[in-house]
Amino acid sequence: MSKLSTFFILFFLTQLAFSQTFTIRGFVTDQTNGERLLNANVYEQKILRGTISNNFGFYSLTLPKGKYSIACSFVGYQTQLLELNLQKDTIIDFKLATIADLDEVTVLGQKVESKLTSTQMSRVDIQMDKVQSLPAFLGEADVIKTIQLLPGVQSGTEGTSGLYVRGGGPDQNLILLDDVPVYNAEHLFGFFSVFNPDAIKSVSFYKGGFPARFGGRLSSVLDIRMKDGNEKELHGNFSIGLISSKINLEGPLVKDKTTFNFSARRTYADLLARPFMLTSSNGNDIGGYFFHDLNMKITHKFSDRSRVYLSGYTGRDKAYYRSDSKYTYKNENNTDETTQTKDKFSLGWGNITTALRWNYIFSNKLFANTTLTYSRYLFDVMENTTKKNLTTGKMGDEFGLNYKSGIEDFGLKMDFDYFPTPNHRVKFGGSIIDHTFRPGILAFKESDQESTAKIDTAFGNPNIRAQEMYAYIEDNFDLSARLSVNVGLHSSGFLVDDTFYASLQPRVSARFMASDRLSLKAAYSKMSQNIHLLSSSTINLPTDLWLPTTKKVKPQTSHQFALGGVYRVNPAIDFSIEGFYKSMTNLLEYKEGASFVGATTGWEDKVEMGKGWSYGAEFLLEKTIGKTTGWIGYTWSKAERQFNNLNWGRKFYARYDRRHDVSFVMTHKFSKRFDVGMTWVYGTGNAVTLPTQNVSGAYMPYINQFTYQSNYEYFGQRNNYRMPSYHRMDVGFNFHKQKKHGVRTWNLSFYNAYSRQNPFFLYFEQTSEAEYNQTGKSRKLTQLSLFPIIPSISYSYKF
Amino acid sequence: MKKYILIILLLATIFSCTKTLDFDEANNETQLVLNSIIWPDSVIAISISKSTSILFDRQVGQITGGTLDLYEDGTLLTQITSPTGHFYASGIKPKAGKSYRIVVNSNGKQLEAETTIPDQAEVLSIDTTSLIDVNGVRRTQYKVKIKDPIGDDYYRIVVMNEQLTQLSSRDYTDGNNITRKYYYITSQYWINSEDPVFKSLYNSMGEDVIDMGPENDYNIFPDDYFKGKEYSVQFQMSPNGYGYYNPYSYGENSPFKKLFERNTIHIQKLSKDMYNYLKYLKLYNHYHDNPFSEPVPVYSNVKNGTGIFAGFNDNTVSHFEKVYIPFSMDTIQIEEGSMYNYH
Repeated sequence: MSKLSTFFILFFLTQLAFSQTFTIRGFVTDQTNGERLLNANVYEQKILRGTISNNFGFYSLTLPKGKYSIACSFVGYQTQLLELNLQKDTIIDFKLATIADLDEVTVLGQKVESKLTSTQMSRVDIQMDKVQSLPAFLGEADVIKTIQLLPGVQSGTEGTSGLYVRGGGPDQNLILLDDVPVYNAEHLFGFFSVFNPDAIKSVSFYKGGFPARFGGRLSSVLDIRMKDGNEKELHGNFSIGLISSKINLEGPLVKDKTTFNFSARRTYADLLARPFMLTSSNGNDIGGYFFHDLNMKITHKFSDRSRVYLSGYTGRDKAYYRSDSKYTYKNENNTDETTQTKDKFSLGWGNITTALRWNYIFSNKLFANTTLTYSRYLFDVMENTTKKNLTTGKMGDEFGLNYKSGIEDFGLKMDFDYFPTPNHRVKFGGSIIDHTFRPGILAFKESDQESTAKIDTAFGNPNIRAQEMYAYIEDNFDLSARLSVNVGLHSSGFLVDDTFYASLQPRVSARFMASDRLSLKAAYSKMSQNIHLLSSSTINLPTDLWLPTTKKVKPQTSHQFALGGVYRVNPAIDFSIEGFYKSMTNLLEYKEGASFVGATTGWEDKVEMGKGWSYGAEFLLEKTIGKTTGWIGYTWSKAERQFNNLNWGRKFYARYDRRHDVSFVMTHKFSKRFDVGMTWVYGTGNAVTLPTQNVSGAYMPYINQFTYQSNYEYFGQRNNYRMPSYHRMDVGFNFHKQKKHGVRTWNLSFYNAYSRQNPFFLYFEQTSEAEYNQTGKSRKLTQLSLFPIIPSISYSYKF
Repeated sequence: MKKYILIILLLATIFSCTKTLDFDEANNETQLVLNSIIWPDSVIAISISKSTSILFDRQVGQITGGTLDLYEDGTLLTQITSPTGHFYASGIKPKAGKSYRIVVNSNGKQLEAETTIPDQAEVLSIDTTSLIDVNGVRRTQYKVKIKDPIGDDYYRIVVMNEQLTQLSSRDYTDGNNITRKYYYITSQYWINSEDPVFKSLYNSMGEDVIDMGPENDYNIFPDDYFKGKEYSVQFQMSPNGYGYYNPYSYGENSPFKKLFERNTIHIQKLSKDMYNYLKYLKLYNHYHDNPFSEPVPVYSNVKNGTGIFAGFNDNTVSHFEKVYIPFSMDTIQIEEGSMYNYH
């Protein structure tokens, strides 16, 4: 008899044993605004049986007939207690009230689900109030920059929103906004992320121990959920910062039935600069750069069992330039002729995501969520120049260029939460996504006045269609009072060019309670990734192309093992240690010098496939309650790569390999009117490739001496040089004041408070004559640092 | 396009500043560099030099001595000792289809490299047409039809130009005595082509508008598009192109008179080593100053050192543009310094 059959028989017997039971189910919500609370604890206090609410605030708890004391708790909220004589299936909606000042002496009670007790490891839930209260670069609070402060996560280049998780690449992160994948989460080349914190309800970040419901990327999952909107009354906030302003409004459209949440953000440097540009160019030139975001969500409750959500995001970066100039000259007849030249240029990129979700409670134990998703990322460049003789009316030279690339997805997803017994929390479901990859079409048009010759053509590849599908099942259950496990299977398929890739990915995580204050954890995940991000640069650029696995280019896979433990120092402080080992295969690197922009013909021949390893240990001391909260994180890790045709087949350190990484994050609330946030980060310098020697090249017969540069530089190993270490302190001060209709806050932030010159990139430059005379050296290694201390101020008002 | 992105990115660096870092040269070992390009009928010449620190001017550090063993298809042909690092295998001519290996012992290191001399390219025909381009400039369009054999092959096309110019000057102090001087110039044509065999190598479509990669200046291409088949490579030549050297004006009243001009088309088959060397040398030059690009190392097939040992085979077809010369070349004296001969 197979192990699977044994499992199902045992499962059936367990069901029988609980046949004399009844189920309590309902939702956990915030009392003041009706917002549903995710991962809230619902548990019976005496027998300590409990569950947690799912991603839509739904819970289900099955208990034998009898009298119970049911408690519902959530961090930052008062625990609610309910005495209950359970004689039939019962619906209880918990409405929790917030605690104004949560301190160490607040009794939280025993919880069934916490960092200490959860089977899940390598997961962090980011509190949005923490994101808002930490110092922010140019006053823009940023979810991804908060995640970068966690152990095991590297930020990549200075100031940017890249995520390099446990030695993985920037393309290996599954970023979900209301279950919709976001392909480019960066504004302004990563200096800001696309997520407006005002619109976000919850953020969960997984760097290992992936539950079976997630798949498609190797290194991390960032699960972001937007606010549903206040059910009771209209609320909102707006803020004015140095580079952008934003507004958030939420409220009921139909009280207790339909809600909305709307957020918008736009930078305005271009608008402020426009009058100066017009003045300096006599009204001829307009140019600038901006980005904007719009988040919208509407929620409607059909009944207690049925609810629908429509959420959308659109964001765009755009650089533009328009010029209209006139030139007057004397023609052959010595009369004036005027020509007009119009130039237009724009470069932009942006995402659109949409999710239509329907929650339905099929039974007290079965909750279903069906989601239709749409996601699009588009990068486009347009340039157009026309000339016209205004005197004769004759058209002159014309030049036009248009380039577009991106990816577009339509998806259907079904997820079920099944609560058969208090011991089992089963999740299962599946999804299908239709991808359209747009690898880049370049349209090119040129004509000139003097001849009839015209160019009007297009280069590039047609779109590539691919279908991705997966199904999963996972069960979180207790094997004993001390031992609980989460066992799951994620099965995925990818169909492209008549080739089908199938993958079975087992996921296991386990938790053993060694004592009331100490838990030991272990996890294993196999992951597979069928889409690749091709980049011809060492930094993330919007031109990077998403392309599918093909016949030649196989899916990336990884195996990750993690082992760790959580020790509860006191109710407010947890100390955790995690060690991990991750091996990756079929990683992609571009061949040296290969370029992908605009011409992806035969791109498979321009990439190298190789292997990667990363391993390390992460330490985290975290305090979540009290006037002072925050964490101290330390990571020791190594990340290596090996490609047969790169670096002569030898192993080399990944660019963002970082031996030591420290983060110190702290907020302190002095009073209701004043709080302070501070972060300090330290990291070993990035590995970069620098030339070490000058080499005399070969004498080449039949060569054009104008173009042949025979001498060149010799590089040793790839990533052979370590940049200086990186460290930086940011400090932010928040001044709050209660006003008649709400609370106003002034935020004063200092990025890089002690103005450390951190390395952005290194290069060799010529020495001055004085330096040459002193040292005899004609070149020197120079470091460019991006940001010194950058103060910023912002004003916000919440009503 | 990349330039626009870089402009926007650099706008973000308005607060940036720089500082000098110590660069530890001690950890960077000096490399022995072996260079040699061989082809049929050439003298086999090998040079060994030392690399120099990146912090100093490009100076080739000469070695003090070494020995070299030259093998043809595994058989030792000769052993040469040189105190200067320049080795000449006099009397030995490389042959098509043969494989050559050199082993050099110098400065306590043993360097090894191996390459082959490909067979000559099979040229079926060369057609030329004259056309006027959009700018009113006369160009010559070439169609070079080649027959590609089975297997991986690598090609390069070079068009060389030779001119013999006569300068006539009258000596007024001595009546009507006219002195004549002769100048002989060799230069290389700039090849202009939209042929995909050239353009696809570096994704350089779109010319200067979209800066996607370097130009294929060395006019190299693999046989990926026409493996084992016949193919007509098309290109144009611009007489005013970059690299074409013409210092003289041949107007009606000019003292200069062009006596003859000859274009020679070289259809070369390259060893894979030579193709890779030229390909990556160009990529290196294009990317090495870009701080956001992973640098491209120049290809080397030298074990325990760096440099290149590569072979090629040349097939030439000459095309005379003008022939006015009424006398034998042997009877005239070519002025010194007028010859730009790259052979």
